[in-house]
Amino acid sequence: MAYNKKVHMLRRLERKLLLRVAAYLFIGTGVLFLEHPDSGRELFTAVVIITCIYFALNQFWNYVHFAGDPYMLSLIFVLCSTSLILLYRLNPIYAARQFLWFIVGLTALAVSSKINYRKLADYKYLYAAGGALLLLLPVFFGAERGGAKSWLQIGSITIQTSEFVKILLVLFLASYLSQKSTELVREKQSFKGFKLPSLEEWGPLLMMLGISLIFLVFQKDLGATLIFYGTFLAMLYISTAKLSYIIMGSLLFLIGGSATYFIFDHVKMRVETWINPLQYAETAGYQVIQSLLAFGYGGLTGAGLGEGFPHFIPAVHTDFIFAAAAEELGLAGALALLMVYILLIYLGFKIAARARDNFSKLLAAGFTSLMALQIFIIIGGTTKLLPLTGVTLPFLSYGGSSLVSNCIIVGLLMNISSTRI
Amino acid sequence: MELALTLTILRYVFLVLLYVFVFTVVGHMFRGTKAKPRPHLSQRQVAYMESEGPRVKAVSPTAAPRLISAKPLSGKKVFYLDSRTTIGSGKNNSIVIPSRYVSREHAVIYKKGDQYWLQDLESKNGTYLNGYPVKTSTVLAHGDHINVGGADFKFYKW
Repeated sequence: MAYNKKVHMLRRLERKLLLRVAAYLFIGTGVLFLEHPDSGRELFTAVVIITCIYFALNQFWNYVHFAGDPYMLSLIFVLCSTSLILLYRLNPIYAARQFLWFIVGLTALAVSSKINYRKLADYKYLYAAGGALLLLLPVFFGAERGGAKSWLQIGSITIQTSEFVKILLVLFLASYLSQKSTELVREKQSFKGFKLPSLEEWGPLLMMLGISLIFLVFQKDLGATLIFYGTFLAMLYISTAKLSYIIMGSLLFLIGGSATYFIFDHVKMRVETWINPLQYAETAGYQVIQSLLAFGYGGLTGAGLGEGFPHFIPAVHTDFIFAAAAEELGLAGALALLMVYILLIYLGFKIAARARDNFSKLLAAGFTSLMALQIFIIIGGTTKLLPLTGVTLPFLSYGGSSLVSNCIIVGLLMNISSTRI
Repeated sequence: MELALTLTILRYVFLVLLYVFVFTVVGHMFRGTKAKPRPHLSQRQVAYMESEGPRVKAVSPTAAPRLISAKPLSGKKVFYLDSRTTIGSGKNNSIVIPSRYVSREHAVIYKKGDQYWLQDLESKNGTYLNGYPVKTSTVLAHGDHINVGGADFKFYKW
């Protein structure tokens, strides 16, 4: 049958790409093994298991005739491989823990790629309530790390709740806007030449946004706030195609941004270290300066895996993993990783453009804008293009919550891409 | 010495393999986007293919969402869609197809918001949308081709 034949072709292409990544991963493992021959056995076992899981997922999709996008899984695999190799090189304990999260994340990806995601459109107020709850819990029961209070401790594992709130936010906005976008486009009142939709349609949206912003101010998690707000604006624009939302939203953001600059000292500090980090080289600017030095030391083809000095950068395994990658793999490696991210974002928007109904379109576009913003903000932060706000780099940074939530996002994107009819 | 050399070579191989992967992906991804040479068609045919949807119907003021059958069914070719339009061989369906390949209650098109959704009612021979079997409820787009047990329909939204 034509349909099954097409699925087999897609999965065969996926297998081919996965093989390329497996070769990359095994060479990287070989380098690490030659450097430390005594402790390489565990790493080798982990790498074999990870590779087997990816191929098993490919076989599973082939078996159930899943017609999802053939490129996405291999792009995730190349990022995860790089992550595993870099983390092992930084500290084998990080790699061991991340390895377990890879298994959890891939299970989440497999599940979210096969669920009937259109049913998700029906629970929009549950998402709003769940998101508010997840943001509220760390305020009262959370642990503070690096100036941001957004971790929740359950037993021995800590969960960064804002990573999962992201998903709920996009789910909420997609289901809300897909039902209400026609009303948002309809112009009812005009205000000094600008035509505005009435407050009934705006109300719940503004409330949702206001709540999340208030919580994030309490949690001091600036990066997450920026991502939430950016995603909100992007999805509003995608569903209504009205530029006035973007202009008004950006103006509001400018006002809010300058207000936080004058109210909160830690925001002021961030901006000042961004403009002139050398002035605070021993204190607040230390991290960014070490990151910039790492980029410089990397040169064109890098110091070589295991030859750099990434440990000078604080939080190198989470927010600053891109600096470690640039130091050891050089400009060449950093650009290749950027290309992988660009391809991922391109694929996401392509899936959104091809999706058939409004909910799927908005969901795919929302998740993709979310991921794109997050990548831009943290890579911009490590390269001093933007003031530093601590967010994780999807699939590359150490961190279970980030990995699992991004795996769910990619699983849903693949799920949307599989329903071509 | 030999170890250092092997390591250096392997480190470069590592980088090269990363690029091999990226280029393989890009090569496959954009293979389909190259302009294909068109088969020989007259200017008018090309113009017709590039125009969106049926032109005659598009200007008609009574253009409501409808199905147009390839063959007349009990004298009718155009079926306007209600909030729920059932298709099948049974007499009480909105669109009756008297064929032994069509189940009694074969498929349904229902309205949700301003979109029309096609659902297969677990028919024996299945419902096809643009050549693919309809497994879960699927939203219809202007110009979609629907096949119900051998009977062809085209969906026009306006």
